[in-house]
Amino acid sequence: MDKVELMMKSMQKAFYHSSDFTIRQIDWRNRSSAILCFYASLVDAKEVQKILDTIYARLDTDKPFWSETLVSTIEHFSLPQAVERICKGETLIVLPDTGEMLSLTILNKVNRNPDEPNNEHILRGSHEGLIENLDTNLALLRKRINNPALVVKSFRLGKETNTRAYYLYMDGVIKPETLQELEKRLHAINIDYFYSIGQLNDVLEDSVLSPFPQVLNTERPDRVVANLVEGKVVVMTDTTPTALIAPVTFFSYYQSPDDYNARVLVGSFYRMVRLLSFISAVFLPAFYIAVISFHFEILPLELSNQVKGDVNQIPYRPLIEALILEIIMELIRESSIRLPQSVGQTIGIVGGLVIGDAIVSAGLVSNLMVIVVALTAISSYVVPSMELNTTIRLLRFPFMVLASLFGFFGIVIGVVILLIHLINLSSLKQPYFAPIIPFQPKEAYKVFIRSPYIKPTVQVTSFNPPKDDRVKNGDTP
Amino acid sequence: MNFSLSKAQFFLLLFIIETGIVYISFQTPLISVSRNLAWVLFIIAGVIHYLLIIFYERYYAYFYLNTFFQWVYKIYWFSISVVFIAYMEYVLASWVLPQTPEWVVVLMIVLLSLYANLSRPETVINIGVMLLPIIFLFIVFLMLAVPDLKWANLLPLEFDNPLQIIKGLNHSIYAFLGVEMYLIYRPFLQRELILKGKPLFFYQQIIFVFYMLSVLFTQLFFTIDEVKLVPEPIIYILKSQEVTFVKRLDIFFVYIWLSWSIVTIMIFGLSFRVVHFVKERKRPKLNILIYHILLAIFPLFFIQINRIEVIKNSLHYLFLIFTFFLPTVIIFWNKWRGKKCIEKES
Amino acid sequence: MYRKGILVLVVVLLAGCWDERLYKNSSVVTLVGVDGTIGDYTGYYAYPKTTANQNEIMIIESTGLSPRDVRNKTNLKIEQTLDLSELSAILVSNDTVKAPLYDILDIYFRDPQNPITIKIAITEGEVKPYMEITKNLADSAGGYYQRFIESSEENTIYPKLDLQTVGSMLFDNAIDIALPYIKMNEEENRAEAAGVALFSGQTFTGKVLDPKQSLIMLLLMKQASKQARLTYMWHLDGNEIPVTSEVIHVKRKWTVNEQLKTIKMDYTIEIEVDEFSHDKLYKDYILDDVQTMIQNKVQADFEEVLKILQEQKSDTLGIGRHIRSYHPKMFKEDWHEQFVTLSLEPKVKVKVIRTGVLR
Repeated sequence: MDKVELMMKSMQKAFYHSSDFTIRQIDWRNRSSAILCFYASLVDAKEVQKILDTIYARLDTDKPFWSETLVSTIEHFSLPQAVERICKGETLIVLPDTGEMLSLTILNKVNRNPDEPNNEHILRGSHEGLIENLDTNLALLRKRINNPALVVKSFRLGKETNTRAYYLYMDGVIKPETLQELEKRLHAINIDYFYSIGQLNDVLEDSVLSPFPQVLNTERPDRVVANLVEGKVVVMTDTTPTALIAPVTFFSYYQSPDDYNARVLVGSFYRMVRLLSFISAVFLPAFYIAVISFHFEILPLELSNQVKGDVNQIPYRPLIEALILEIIMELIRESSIRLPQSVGQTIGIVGGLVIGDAIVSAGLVSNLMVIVVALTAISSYVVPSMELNTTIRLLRFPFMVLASLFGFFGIVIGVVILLIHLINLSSLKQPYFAPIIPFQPKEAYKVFIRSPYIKPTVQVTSFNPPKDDRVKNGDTP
Repeated sequence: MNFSLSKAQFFLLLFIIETGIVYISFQTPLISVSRNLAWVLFIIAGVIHYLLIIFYERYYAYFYLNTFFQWVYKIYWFSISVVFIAYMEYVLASWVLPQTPEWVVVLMIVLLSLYANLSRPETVINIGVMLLPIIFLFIVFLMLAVPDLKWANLLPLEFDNPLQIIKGLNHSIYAFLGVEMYLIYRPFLQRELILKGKPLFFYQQIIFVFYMLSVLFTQLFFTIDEVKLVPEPIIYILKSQEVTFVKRLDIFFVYIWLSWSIVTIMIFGLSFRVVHFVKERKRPKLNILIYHILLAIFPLFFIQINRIEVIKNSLHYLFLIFTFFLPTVIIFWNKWRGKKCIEKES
Repeated sequence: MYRKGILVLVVVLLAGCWDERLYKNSSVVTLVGVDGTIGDYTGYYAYPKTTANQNEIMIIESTGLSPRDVRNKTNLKIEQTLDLSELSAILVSNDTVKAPLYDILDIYFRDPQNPITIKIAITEGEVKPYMEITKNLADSAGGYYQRFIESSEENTIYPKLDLQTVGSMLFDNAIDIALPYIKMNEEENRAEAAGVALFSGQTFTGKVLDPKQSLIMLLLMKQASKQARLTYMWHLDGNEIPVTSEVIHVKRKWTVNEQLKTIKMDYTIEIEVDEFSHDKLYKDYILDDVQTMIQNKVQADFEEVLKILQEQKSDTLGIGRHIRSYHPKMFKEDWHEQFVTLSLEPKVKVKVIRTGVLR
């Protein structure tokens, strides 16, 4: 049998005779044969043909580097390497005579446009979003930071899936120990199949069982850049548009690019509103339950009469009443996510108005409870980050139970536990509740106030990265 | 134990220890004993406190505790914590939770302290920061009572009864219970930080003004015969204030005070740890757990009005021994022997 | 740690919530009336009964040995628990306060759930009719009397007091209280502010100052509220012209002479003329004349009220406190006896500082 044919057989075997694996014998110079092989599904055939034509033309001139172009290179042939390259979507021309292979990196890119991510809308500023392609994403970032100090390191995820992934950082801004910690964790990853960003997320978190997210997920390149220059590490994988950012603080979740694009006063005001929303989202139902079942003497007389009239005919204890409504709330939320957008809104109206009104007339819950739960729901959606939003919605249940057991005493117990937990928490070994704890008065006010750009230091530097000032003074645009 | 404190953390720690539990109640015995003189005596007490921390700052390096004195202080802090927890539960029971069994409240408080003390030391040190805004709120709402104050209550001043003055001084200095922790935590301050006169003076001013407000408010708000009946005057003042959105401020402030006091209890636990784990010990978590189990059991024996009263009426003598007498003796004894604290030698 | 936490939670959950007082299971009393004397008290409690968006005031009556006993007896008669945490006014009949007032107030101070920012008033005759009229007049019994008293406070008829300040003064022998006094207007079946009831120490003296005298007393106390109006007749050429003026500022200075036991009380009252149907007020001679007229009348009123206070041994002005603070040697423990022997010399100076929008 011909050497070429033999090789083709073995190649086909290596690819399990997949239908989209194309392998052909072609002519090469000096009447020899070569093998052309690629995944038809991954290759942009027209472009490959163009390049091949160029290479054919150069082939005959006998130039020493005839094979080298932007997208093609030649190297020694080995079957495992060939398999890997084809799996990546490259086109391979194996030259059995010389034992070399020519690879053409022309991918058929199936990408969507870098549209604004759906769950992170902003009003002003860039409306680009990351997409499911690593190179495009890097391009979006490099476009914003034209500086070699933006270091990109690649690694592979999953022994079997072998997914590409990068981590990025600004050299000189990042703390060395943060980087070490990250590298240590990435080395320790031991998964076979990587298919979802959540797998990486769990590895990067310091305590997985905590309700609080310790890694910031975002699909916005401007947010990624803002965090990079603050000295954080960004991990991105191919196949997901989400960038993971660490180490973060609790307050990172409450910052939105909108703050920095809006005017100073406006930005500061809405930042404070957002922080207030944390308090109302977590404590409002608990507070209401505590007041109604333990401490109604704090209500002023007029209000008290109203409340009394309202709750008098409710058959359930306040906790049950609140749980009924909260569960309805969560059901409406969950169903409106899954449904198509147009129907989703209808569900919102049906759920909100019809059920809300009917459940009060039916005497299952009181008017006030509807107000409280609705307010809580609205407050919980104020957070710019989806992960923290879910955390907050989860957190209020233990508080409600505690409040129904001990009234305000229960809330105090809950708050102290929550605080100790938050203080204990760390993100890549950096304190999570900074700059409040450990207390840095000069940094702490920036949590509440978006300070003007005209001052030399602008952004919230959570962990005092070294050479911070240099960066802030314009080395990186 | 290995941690280091910044200046702010150090003073915050000291502030929480010194204020905490006694803040709402020490005014009653002070004013009943010294009558109109209370505010003058408290100013004197403030000066004594300032001198005391200057003395501590100068000689803290000689405050080396041998095993015996370690145990003396450990037992002292433990019993103070026990008494405080009992008092906290008593106040809670009389103000807001009359039916809840004592052991449940005590258990909850102790569990919180246990959770904090099983964490890193930094947790206990830093948690006080969260109290600052609510303590500030406390003071702001106290200011609502300003229109009800009767300034004539400051007078007359009669200095003709020395016994009354000495007793009053003792009661006013009692406000600074726990100041001996200065000696415990001072060596942990970051090495390069030196406490000169200025930070000490500012700290003294802040805590003095903070306490002075409470003394003045109590004295100006109540008549002397009335204050004898009111064991928690600050909360009572808040009870008599009405703001438009909330009718009863006192309920909120009982709980603010409670969380504040819980932090104080945590810090007492931390001090116990600091002294206890000077030596390497096996199974540190078990030690802490046992400390807290005892802390949960002992207070239950004290929650009764007559026992609370006995304790309240004797604690200020105990305080004198452990804050003035013992540190002075230990410091001068070690100075004479030339023995210094371990941290300083290395 | 988590498992332990869950265990504790389960234990607590099983045991239940000890201090829960469900709002819907409480009868929220807003107004309390007390009648009778020690050993034979009658208490009245007004609470709203809510039925299908209709508020109706229920009044329930009981007798008992002590105020607390009355409340316990009342609890036997209703289907929910009496809850006094929303209490906003207490009415006490004028017979009851002949005995020490603190006896009936003690339970309100001692119970942490009771508010102490509430109003207290003395009624002329039995309390019962005063409770009954709220059924027609308001949807909240306590709220009615609270507003009633507060509006009179604004008009400088009642001193600004709440339960806490009353209690504070009851414990001070150097000052006495003057509580709002309410009488029944039989024709209109309404309550009517009838001045203040003077107390000497813990007990009611039996003397009531009428609204005008109350206003004068409050001016003496330097407690002119939002509206403090004085109306006097001005004689001009045989005609009587009413002059109403509003007190803007009161300044006072007490000078104590320890030997002679006299107190010179200098008052400067600045007023705005509210009603003056004659014109030419801007003319100096008319203004002076009006000013002197008001000054003399106020002087006479001051003397009259001070005389009444001394007769009743009721030091509502707090002269005792002043003397105790600034002249401690002169102060004696039996202050009420001392108070009577003082000679009080008021001296009033009235200034018209504004005349409204007209000249």
